[in-house]
Amino acid sequence: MKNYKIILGLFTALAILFAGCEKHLDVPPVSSITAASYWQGEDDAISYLYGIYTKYRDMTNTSLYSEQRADMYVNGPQAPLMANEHNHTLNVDVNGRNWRSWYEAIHHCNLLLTKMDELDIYDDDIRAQALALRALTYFRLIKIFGDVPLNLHPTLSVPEEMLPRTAVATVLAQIKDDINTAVSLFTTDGIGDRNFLSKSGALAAQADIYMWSGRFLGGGDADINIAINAINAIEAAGGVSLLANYADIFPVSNEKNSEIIFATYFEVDETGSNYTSNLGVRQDYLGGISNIAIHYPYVPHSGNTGLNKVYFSPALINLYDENPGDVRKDANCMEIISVVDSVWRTNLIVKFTGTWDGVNRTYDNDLIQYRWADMLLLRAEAYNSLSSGRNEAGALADLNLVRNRAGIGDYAGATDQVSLEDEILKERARELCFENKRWEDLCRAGKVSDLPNYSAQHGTDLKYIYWPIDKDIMGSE
Amino acid sequence: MKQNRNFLKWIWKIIFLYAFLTFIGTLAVNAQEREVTGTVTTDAGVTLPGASVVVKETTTGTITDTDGNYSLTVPGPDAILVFSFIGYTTQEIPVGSQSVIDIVLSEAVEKLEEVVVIGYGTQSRATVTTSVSKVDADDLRSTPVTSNPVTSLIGKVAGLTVVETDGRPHASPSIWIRGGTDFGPTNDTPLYVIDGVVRDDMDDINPADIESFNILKDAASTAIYGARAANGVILITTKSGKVGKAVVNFSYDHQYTSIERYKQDFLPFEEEIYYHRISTARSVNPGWSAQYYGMLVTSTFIGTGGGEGTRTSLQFADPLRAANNGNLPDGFISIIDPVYGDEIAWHPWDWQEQVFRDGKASNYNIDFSGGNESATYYSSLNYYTNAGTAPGTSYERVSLTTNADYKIIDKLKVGANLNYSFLDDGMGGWDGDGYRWFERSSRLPSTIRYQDEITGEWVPGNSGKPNPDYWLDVNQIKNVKNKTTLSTYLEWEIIDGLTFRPFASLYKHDLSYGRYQLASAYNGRRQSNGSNETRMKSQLDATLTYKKSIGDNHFVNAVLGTSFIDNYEYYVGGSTYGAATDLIYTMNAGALENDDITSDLYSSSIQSWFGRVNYTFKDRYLLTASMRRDGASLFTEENKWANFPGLSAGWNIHNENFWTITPISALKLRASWGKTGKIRNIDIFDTQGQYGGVLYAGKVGIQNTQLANTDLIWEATTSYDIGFDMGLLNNRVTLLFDYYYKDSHDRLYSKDLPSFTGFSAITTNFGSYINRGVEFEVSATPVQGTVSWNVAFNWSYNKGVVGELPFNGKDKNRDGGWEVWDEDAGEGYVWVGGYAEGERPDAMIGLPNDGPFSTQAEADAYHVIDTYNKAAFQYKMAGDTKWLDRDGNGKIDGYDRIISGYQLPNHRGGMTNVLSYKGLDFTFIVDWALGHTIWAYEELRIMANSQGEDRTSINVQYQWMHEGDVTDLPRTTRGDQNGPGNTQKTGALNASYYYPGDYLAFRELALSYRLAPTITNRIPGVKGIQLNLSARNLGWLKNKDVRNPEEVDGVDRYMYPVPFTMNAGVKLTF
Repeated sequence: MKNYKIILGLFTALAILFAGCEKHLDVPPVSSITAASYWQGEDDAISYLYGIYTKYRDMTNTSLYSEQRADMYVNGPQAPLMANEHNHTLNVDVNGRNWRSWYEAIHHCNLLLTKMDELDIYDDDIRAQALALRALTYFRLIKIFGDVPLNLHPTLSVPEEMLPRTAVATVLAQIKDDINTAVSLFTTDGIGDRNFLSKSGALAAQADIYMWSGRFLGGGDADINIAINAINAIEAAGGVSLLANYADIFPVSNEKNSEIIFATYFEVDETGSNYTSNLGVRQDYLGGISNIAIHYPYVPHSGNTGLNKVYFSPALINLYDENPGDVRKDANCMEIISVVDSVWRTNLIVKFTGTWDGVNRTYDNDLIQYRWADMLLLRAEAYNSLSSGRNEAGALADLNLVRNRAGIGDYAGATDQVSLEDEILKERARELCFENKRWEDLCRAGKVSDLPNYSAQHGTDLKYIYWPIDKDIMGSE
Repeated sequence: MKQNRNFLKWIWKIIFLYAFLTFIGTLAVNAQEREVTGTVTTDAGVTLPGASVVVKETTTGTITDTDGNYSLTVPGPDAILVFSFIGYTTQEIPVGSQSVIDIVLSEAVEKLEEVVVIGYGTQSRATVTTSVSKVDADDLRSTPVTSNPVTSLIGKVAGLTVVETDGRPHASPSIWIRGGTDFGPTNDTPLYVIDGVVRDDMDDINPADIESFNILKDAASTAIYGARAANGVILITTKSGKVGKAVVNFSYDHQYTSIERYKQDFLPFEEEIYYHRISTARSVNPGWSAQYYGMLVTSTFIGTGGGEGTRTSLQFADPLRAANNGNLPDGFISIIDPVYGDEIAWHPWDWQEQVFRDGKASNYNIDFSGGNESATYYSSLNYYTNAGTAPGTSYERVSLTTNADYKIIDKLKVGANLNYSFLDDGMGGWDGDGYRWFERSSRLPSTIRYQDEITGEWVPGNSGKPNPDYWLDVNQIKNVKNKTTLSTYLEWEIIDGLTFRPFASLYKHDLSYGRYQLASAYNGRRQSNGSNETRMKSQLDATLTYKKSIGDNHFVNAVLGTSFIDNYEYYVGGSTYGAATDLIYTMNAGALENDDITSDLYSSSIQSWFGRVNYTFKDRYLLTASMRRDGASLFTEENKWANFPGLSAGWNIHNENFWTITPISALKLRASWGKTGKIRNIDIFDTQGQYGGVLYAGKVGIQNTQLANTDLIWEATTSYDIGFDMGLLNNRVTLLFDYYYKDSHDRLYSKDLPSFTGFSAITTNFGSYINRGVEFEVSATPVQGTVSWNVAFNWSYNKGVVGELPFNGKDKNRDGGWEVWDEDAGEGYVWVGGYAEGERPDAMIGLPNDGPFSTQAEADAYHVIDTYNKAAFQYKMAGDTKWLDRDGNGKIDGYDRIISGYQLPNHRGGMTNVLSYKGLDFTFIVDWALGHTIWAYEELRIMANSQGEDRTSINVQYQWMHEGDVTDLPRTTRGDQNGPGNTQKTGALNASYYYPGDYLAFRELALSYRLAPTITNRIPGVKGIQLNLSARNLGWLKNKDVRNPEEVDGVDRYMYPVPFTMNAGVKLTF
């Protein structure tokens, strides 16, 4: 009897002892998502795509690689923004850039595309956008750095081999492949939500890419014609037009208007500061609002923030002054002179004025990527630059559409290829200033050396358009 | 809020007073006192004078006279008499009906006979084969109460480093064992196991509740705690009731704290401004920027251009005088400007006085304990309040403990433990970084007057130099923790020697934080933040213990067990601003559109199996083997489980028949090996990757933000230990010696990834860190008799070197570090510092100099380009520092730097002396550390910044002043770090400010007196009265240029200093 009790007791003890709790060792995280738990279905692919747009927005939220290198800005008096990139004295020690953040976006595109394959998600609109975003990201990379590693696989662990820098031509072939596939995949023509890539948005990107390829990377007429066809296709699909009033394109209150083909969405609560806050100038720097209010009923100063880092350049004013009555001059540039003492206070770019809350200005304009006037002028440039079958009439027609909207009438100057090229370039500056187009326009037209700052340093040597790579970059070379 | 807190304090005081009076009353009535007499002799038959006879659990007692006789009044038949004498085994005798009790005390195997607590069990010291140190509460009885009881272990245990560098009232010391497991050990806190409950902290424990600390140091002893034991384990046992009559202890301690000795020696105000003016004028040198000249009149801090009524500028005296009928306004002083000859007047402000105050602390403790054959209990209530040495800082702890055990039947016992504590951490106006107070006190120049002349209100100052008083006024901070521990066990002796013991515990930790900023003329935002965090740890253990002697020769003690721990953490926090009034400071008053809220939930679990066998043969040959298998939820399926084995053996040579060396009364050789793990600094996202939410155009987007590494495993430490325990002269002297080698490998390490991956790093296991060292503990009783002297000494040496690093193509795979000139190296330039295989990880670097140029001729002859300065500042003047161009390349650059020392001491030790005479104990404790270097950053700042932006060191007056002066202090200039960099040398730390950090700390001096029974007996109900007077942190023997030699990171910056404490206390036993 006693033994029985002992055995029972031992058995109970051991049973309690070894009653495993192993299943409790699988504790999925509640407040966060892991790789193991995320990918389930199509909804996840859509959310992931939105995530990529935020990276793309980050990429487009800077003027460092574009406007700051060209001649639309000059340094402001209070906290000058531009330095080596403007003077074209970039050096690896100070300005070397790591391209990791661009590859982060590429990783996201690669991961999305891979997971869609793995999970058999056949949503061509998602796939088209992912491919277009990857094309646009690589397009930015080759414009900034030239040769870059070509990575088409998502990063899942430590990579087994280092990827070398790949020749621009090879990367370009991939970019073309991606954007062409994207254009063909969109299930509907035209434009949907202008904050997302639509077929027309992809076509605009295609035109942009092929113009760069055709004119800067030696693709010639074949590429230029693809660009023209892409812009024609946007036009044919409809949904885009020039607004009657130039100044109506930009206000936050009128975002996603019919001139916009693709603009990255911007809201302060979603992301940090907009690069256009560089344009802001503090109220007190103007000598107080009372000082200027009489003369300027509305000065879009930034309230208590803003350091007047850059303002418009005399070069731009000279371009406007070539044609009296250009409405774009006042729409974009404001010169502030005190009514009290007639002292010049500052110049102020007023193209992107964000939102005024009564105390401070929040710079929250969407970041315009492609709009119809841009496409018209790009097509004009394409028509004019064809070496065979140059379409002077087409070029003039597109140019004049933009000019007439600006109130300066038809172009009446010389129409030979060189002159017209020059005029289109100037028109793009007048129309698209501060929209981060000017530097690439100059590169594409082979006119970087027209920038006094550039030629002072590098003459006509084009290799200095590329940005130096951070010394710490691993896996390059 | 302040009102409420005072109210609470009064409530507690009343409760204590009430409890105190009640017990005096009840006990006085129940006294059944009578007298017991007897004689104490030794086992050699000699009477023993000076032996202690004490009624157990009381302070009632006496000392035997010269003939070994005693006479003592005992409270009743339940009393137990404790006979003790240093060097002899203590005996406990129940009084019962006896009135004469004669006793024979035998010589003790003192330290070697104690029982130590090991994981999931206890063991006699004589059979322990691993490295375990024990500290009894009795060893700490003289130490003044601190907020964290671990503080009292400073210098007590070889190999256990406890360093107090933060003097905030709630601060916990840095604590690590045997060099830790990481390159910087300050976060290598050991695992705490408090009465079986596994925890990461212990700041809520009432020091009076602690019975003993057992410190498990080597891996063989800690392997039973497996995956989290790599940093060692501290087992804390709290008090439990003893069979016998109820005992009540009440103690009250009052403390005075002071940090006066940390005050900087600044120049008097007049001289300070005098040197500021001269320094600024000197900046107007050939080749110097004119802006410095401009500062002579416009600088915010020392310019004279500020108009009357401005708060931050010096002023010319004339307009002030004119407005005051020829007199300086109240509070103003003036000097003649050494540059222009004008009179300068200003209102000086000593910010150091503003942030220093004397602190005080009080501790009230009452405990009740007792029990009978079937039930015992211990219960305590503690209230501790500490008003810190900086305004606005305070700490309060209310702690309640009850431990109860009940024997249901002979073979079945249950017990429960309850601990609740309320911790209120008053942080002052400066949230989270209250220590910066002290930095401010030397950063704020005396010319800054942060007070509105008209309203008298404080003004905030700018963000770089904020005004402490302003922030104290406007910040309302509440930072309160509630901690509750509940545990219960059942102990069932199934058959003789076989015990089954299930144990369950719940440790709940609530942290509630709120911060509100009152509206002021300068900020009307009314920012309000708040958060609540709950952490809950549930633990379920079960052990089966078997103890069996087989014949006379074999003894087996085996444990088999399992443990399951579940962690749950929930956080909710929010912030808002824009309330309309200061009346409501909670977040509900903030403007809705400013509301921001977040919550977070996290849980994890660990499942374990473990077992251990101790086998002893003839008390000579000892063997212990243990194994733990841990599984953790945060690892992936294939890497969830890992094994942690431990193995140790010992040989009690003195028990061998051949052992005839009488002076060596005991000798045990020990050797051990074991493996333990560490899972701190890792979370589930390291193994599973993380996806985070973002917003685009109002839609929720998801991004892969962290890479998964499914191969991650536990970071492990394997260690070897050999040592011996020795007793001399009948164990009147005992020695413990250990040598250890500890290899922490598979370290969690953030591996850089190439940029084309889009990620910067991935968490991997790689590399190792090796610590080796020796430890030595001696305990001896050099004098025993009426006067006795007991001494405990410990010394340890540890050397930590980097083991393996990821291959990077560099020599020793060095990560970081500096390339410098080395005369001895063949090629001249060598890499030093950073992390390199086989080298220490804590090197410090500096740029050496040869003092200032005495004459302009010397300066002109110095044709060296100072690459740390701009071209404009290359012109050297007499009085400028002559930096050494060690490599002779014509430039002062990084290559000229030298290794100036190492951050961590490699020798540490301590010594405790206790002198006893009758009821009087005198305790004197010192500890030391050797081999480290301290960078006197604060002194450098106040030397270098003779530019009006900081206060100025008194040493500035000894600087180079005139052509031909020979001194080691260069001339001061405004904007030193932007100018010639005579002192500061931005980018290349000035080697002159590195000093040896060696110190001997006078840690504690204590006197305690136990009143003779003849006195206490006269007070009804009172069994004992003990008076204590002690002082802590009395000072150091150290290099005079070092302010605090104990800084763990080697930088003597102006943190919240650890105070000097004076403690007076009384303990009453009823």
